[in-house]
Amino acid sequence: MSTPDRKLAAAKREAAAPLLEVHGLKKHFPVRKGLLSRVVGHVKAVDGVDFTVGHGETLSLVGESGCGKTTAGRSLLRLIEPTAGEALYRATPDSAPVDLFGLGGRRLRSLRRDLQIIFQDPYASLNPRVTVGNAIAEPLRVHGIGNRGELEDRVASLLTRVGLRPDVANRFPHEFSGGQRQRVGIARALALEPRLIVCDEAVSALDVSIQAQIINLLKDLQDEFGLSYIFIAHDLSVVKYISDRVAVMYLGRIVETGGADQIFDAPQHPYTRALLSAIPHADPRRRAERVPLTGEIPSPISPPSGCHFHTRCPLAEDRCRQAWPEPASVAPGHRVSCHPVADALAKSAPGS
Amino acid sequence: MEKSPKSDARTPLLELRDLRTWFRTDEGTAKAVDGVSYRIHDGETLGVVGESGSGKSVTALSVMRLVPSPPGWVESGEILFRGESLLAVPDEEFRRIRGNEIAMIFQEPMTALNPVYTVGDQIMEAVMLHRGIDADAARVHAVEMLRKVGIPSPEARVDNYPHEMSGGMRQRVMIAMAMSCDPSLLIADEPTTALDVTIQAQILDLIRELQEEMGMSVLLITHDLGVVAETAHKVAVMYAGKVVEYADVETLFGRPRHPYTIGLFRSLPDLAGPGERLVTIPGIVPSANAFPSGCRFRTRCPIATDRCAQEEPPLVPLEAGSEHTVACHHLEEAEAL
Ligand SMILES: Nc1ncnc2c1ncn2[C@@H]1O[C@H](COP(=O)(O)OP(=O)(O)OP(=O)(O)O)[C@@H](O)[C@H]1O
Ligand SMILES: Nc1ncnc2c1ncn2[C@@H]1O[C@H](COP(=O)(O)OP(=O)(O)OP(=O)(O)O)[C@@H](O)[C@H]1O
Ligand code: SF4
Ligand SMILES: [Mg+2]
Ligand SMILES: [Mg+2]
Repeated sequence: MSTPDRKLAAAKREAAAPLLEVHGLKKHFPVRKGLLSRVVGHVKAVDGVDFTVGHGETLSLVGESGCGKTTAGRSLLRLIEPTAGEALYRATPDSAPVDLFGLGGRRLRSLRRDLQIIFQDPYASLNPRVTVGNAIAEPLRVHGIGNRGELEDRVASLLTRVGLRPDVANRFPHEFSGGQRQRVGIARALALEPRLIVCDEAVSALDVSIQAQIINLLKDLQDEFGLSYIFIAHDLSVVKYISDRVAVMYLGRIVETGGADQIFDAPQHPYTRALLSAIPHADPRRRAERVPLTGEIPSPISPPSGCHFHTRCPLAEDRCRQAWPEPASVAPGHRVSCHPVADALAKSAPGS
Repeated sequence: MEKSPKSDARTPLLELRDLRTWFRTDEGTAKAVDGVSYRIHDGETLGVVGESGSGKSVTALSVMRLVPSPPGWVESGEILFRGESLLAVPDEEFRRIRGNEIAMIFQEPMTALNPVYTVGDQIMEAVMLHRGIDADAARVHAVEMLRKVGIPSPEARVDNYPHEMSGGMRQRVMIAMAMSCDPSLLIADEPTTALDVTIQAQILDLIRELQEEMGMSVLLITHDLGVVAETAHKVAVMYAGKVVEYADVETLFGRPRHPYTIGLFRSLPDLAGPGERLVTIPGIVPSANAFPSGCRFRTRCPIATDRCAQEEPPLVPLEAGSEHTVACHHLEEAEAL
């Protein structure tokens, strides 16, 4: 799609009801100690996040390792049970919303077809005793799709789409390289023609040319079928390229959201700025000017008071230690949670 | 931090000579590594990049003597460590080298960590074995290493099981384990893929620090060209079981010469405008069971000729005496790509 087309598509999306509306999502893991496994605290892996994903839109979740991206993705798909929140899902812009977190049994299973995930650690998610062909066919079988011949054809075409030769179908996961295994995971997620895919580090194990091939494929499927993605990745040049919108997380919370160009061209939150400055460049002559992040990374078991980032923030003031900053609007669609930044924005806003 | 390449005519710390590691599969022999040569000097970092499935990990596993056998075996070639053949070393002695002298960070942390032990137990086991210290001292050391790799509240995390950690934390546990033994050679297979850029920068700095303090050498396998640019002194590019180009990092990034390397750089998403399709290398990677004749890249190479199908291009210096080596028959035509 050309830039004006994308802008138009984005405007249309904003007007329509989104595919997914997440409010107040929390996931706390109990921390147990001792012989009796007494609960001595909680890891607040995800601690109240809100976001939306439009039909045909790509939202990226970025942020420090351990900030809760995978947990957020897995909670949405109910692979782990969320602690609180709601996730309103609309298969099409006109359908009535259902709360994914309120569904049980059969309804949940049938919706699982629409919602797929590509796992961060492909080795851990593939059964070593099942051939990759069967691993890809399994979700199709579970949903009773296709006879044997049709399944084989479908598996072959999926393998081809992710750049693997169809004859690898009867091999076992350990016979593949890391990147090849990652692509098996992608083929499996695509098998059921879902509406939303959580791509958890889906392309990070791939060399750049195959990565480019997969990203083109994800984009093609989006253009063809209006697929939506929640894209979790550490490689920020990939995020910049693939995302419509970006949410930056820090220790279980979202600190900034906006359009991809807003986040990359005009980052507001001090954490976002530090993050962007750490991107390594494929040019040995270019030494990045880093905004160093000092201080120890705090623990989600006992997150800092107020703004979670205050222990490492160059702008921190007293009130940052006391109160969580409510999101302030930077521009339409661009919001930031930071006390001093919000003040600066209010001062520079016309009419104040 | 300063990079200080120290390559000279001394004996390399590690040298591979025409290494071949093959696997028996249902469809015949997979020649995963099929004639790989490279060297790493003391205090040097060699970055290895290349196509997924080109044999980067299997090469490293061959050095570590960790290729699953069967179905895999080292068919031929040499692995020299400080000038001595590693392939000839008996298993027992090799176990001492592995860990004390050579340590490895694996591509997929879950495969290297034992799910039924806490991460602390696993680091402690490694240091007790290699440093001969008692459990209390080892625990203190384990906590310290977890702190060094940037894990928050290491005193609490040391008792976590691997599944209780995020992907990036598991990766750092493995880095901590490998570093605990002060190896002379660190083999790092995609060490920072699961890490966000700020922690990635921290880990790369840590690796560089150890390198400066102790003259450690690093074999860094990664597809992240940014990481290679910032960390490596030398770069080897692999395709289909072979090294197709080798040079120092400035030369390789400044002026890549092999058509595959040129295509690889062109696929970087940084170069694409918004909404533009990414450039890819057309075609599908050949199977390790049936590599094309002649040049293995020819089925996807835009400038391939009949000669490429008949003769295998050797990895030779660009000009006499040059350290930059390339395996391609048509370097002049490749300039125009
Ligand atoms: N099953 C679990 N039990 C206890 N704690 C957990 C569990 N799963 C995750 N956590 C904790 O939740 C926090 C968030 O983890 P999560 O995997 O969501 O991070 P992430 O943002 O995906 O990080 P990465 O980029 O490293 O993959 C971490 O502190 C992690 O240790
Ligand atoms: N146990 C095995 N049995 C059969 N083939 C194998 C086995 N292990 C690896 N291979 C094959 O060897 C080739 C090289 O694999 P290797 O893991 O070294 O690739 P790589 O360059 O590290 O790729 P990636 O960047 O995807 O990690 C691949 O084609 C793979 O399928
Ligand atoms: S030898 Fe031929 S096929 Fe191989 S890279 Fe050079 S031009 Fe292309
Ligand atoms: Mg994760
Ligand atoms: Mg590998």
